[in-house]
Amino acid sequence: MKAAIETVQLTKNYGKARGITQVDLQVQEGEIFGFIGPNGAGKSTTIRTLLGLLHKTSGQARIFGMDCETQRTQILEQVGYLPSEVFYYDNMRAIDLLRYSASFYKKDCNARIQELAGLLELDLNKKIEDMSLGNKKKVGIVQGLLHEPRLIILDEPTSGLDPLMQRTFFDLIQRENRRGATVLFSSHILGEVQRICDRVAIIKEGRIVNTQKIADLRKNTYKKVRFTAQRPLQGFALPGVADLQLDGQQASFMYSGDCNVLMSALAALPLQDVDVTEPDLEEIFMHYYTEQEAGHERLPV
Amino acid sequence: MNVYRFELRREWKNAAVWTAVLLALLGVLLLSVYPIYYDGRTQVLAALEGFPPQFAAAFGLNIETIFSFGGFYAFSFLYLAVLGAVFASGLGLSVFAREKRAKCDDFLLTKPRPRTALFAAKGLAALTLLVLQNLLYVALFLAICNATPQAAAPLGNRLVAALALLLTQLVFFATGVCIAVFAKKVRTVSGTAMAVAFGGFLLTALQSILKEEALRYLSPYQYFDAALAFETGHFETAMAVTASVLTVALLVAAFVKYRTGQTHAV
Repeated sequence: MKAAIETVQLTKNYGKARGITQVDLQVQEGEIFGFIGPNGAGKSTTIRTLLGLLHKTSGQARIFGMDCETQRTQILEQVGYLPSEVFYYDNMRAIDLLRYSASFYKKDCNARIQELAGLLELDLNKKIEDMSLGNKKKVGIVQGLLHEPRLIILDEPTSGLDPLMQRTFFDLIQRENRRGATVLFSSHILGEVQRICDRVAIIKEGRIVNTQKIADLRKNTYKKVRFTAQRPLQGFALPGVADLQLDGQQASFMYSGDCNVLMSALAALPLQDVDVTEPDLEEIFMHYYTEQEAGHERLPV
Repeated sequence: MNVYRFELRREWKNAAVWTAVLLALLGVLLLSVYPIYYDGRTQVLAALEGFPPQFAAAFGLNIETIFSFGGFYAFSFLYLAVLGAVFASGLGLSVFAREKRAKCDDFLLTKPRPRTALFAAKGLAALTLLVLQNLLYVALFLAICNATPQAAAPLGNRLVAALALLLTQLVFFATGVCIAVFAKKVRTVSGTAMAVAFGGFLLTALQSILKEEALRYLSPYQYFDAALAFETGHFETAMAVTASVLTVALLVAAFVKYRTGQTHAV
């Protein structure tokens, strides 16, 4: 399988400030690739460098084998991009904006515009400035997909879309993927990435901390466990426990493994209280981050 | 061509309004005000003698030439050029800062078109409007010259004098383009364009008052002297070269920045 996106040691600094550092990504043609990280982690910087909106400091970035800086125009013929926040020209109807957008490609996109607008229930004759955030986002989706791109780059695409429309949007992306399009899906919401992606890369503080298959991510589902014992704890050891923090009678840790084993271990303790929850994304990132810093083996890719 | 057509569609109404105002002012000044000046020379001279010479100079009044058609046109030209400069710098700002103002740089710059082509299309669209405006301006000016007995000058001289507007506008257009490309934010096109045009007016007024030779090179409304053109059929070479170098330098700087600039997330 060929790589649709390939970055090697891609680095982008903003003067002395950090952007992204030595990012290695490989997105295969035909896959839906998730790119997750907290705000400010470097997702948009990576995407903007791929699109030639930012100039890399060092490293390489290629799309369909072409260099993202020197062959930018040829690349952009095959790329559809939806930015996280959509802004368009004032005093324009959606249909006029979309026709203008279509005029950059060497194909008739009229039928496709109508089809996508119908699917997303978008009123094409309305002025964009009079639209709600969600409808503006729909205009963005149509303009990103109207030329049937080979690569679709989505930067936090679901903000502003109601849950029903999110489902329609995910169906649409999966349909585009079945048509053969590769999708790079950036988000800070793990759930939505898990929903449609084949693989996922986790980025934190400008570095890729992990890349793995969604199936493996599910297999390695982490739980956040907190408990209070009836007497001060001397320690707590169990395979699958990470980031253990002991504080008197209290303990907290991340757990990955068989929940029955965890329950048995907890049941053996004189407990006052126990709390098992889904960790939020920040905690998962912290987990990967500390794991990586501690030199632990990476999870399978 | 799509960017060229898009920019023309977005700007033609504004250009039409400015052209109408410019032509109306030209007509009023040369067809209505000039005959009053010419017929009331004695009273005008008496009135001007009451003012300090610096005052008249600041407003472009040259008592020795004001009663000739060429002299009056030169006086009028200062105000016509200020209007033309507001339009030209506004056009440069509007066309080249359109995406920046609407925060939609991403939209245009992720389209499969080299930035060189985008810059050229935008520039050509703006130049088309400037040239069309000046075609009408030149036509009206020539018609007025034909209808005015005092406007005795060869056709070539009249043409060059009329072209002073376009050439002055090009300097301001380049300034507008440069500001549009280099400024991080362009809040209002009209406000910035007015500031640029009136900034140039102040420099010109200052030079007229101080009579400082070096200041002439910083006085954009003196680069193309309409009175000299009407009399001799050409502009002062040093000033024309200064204007050309400045215009080209501004456009080249803007082009380099537009082609190589980075687009950060909004």
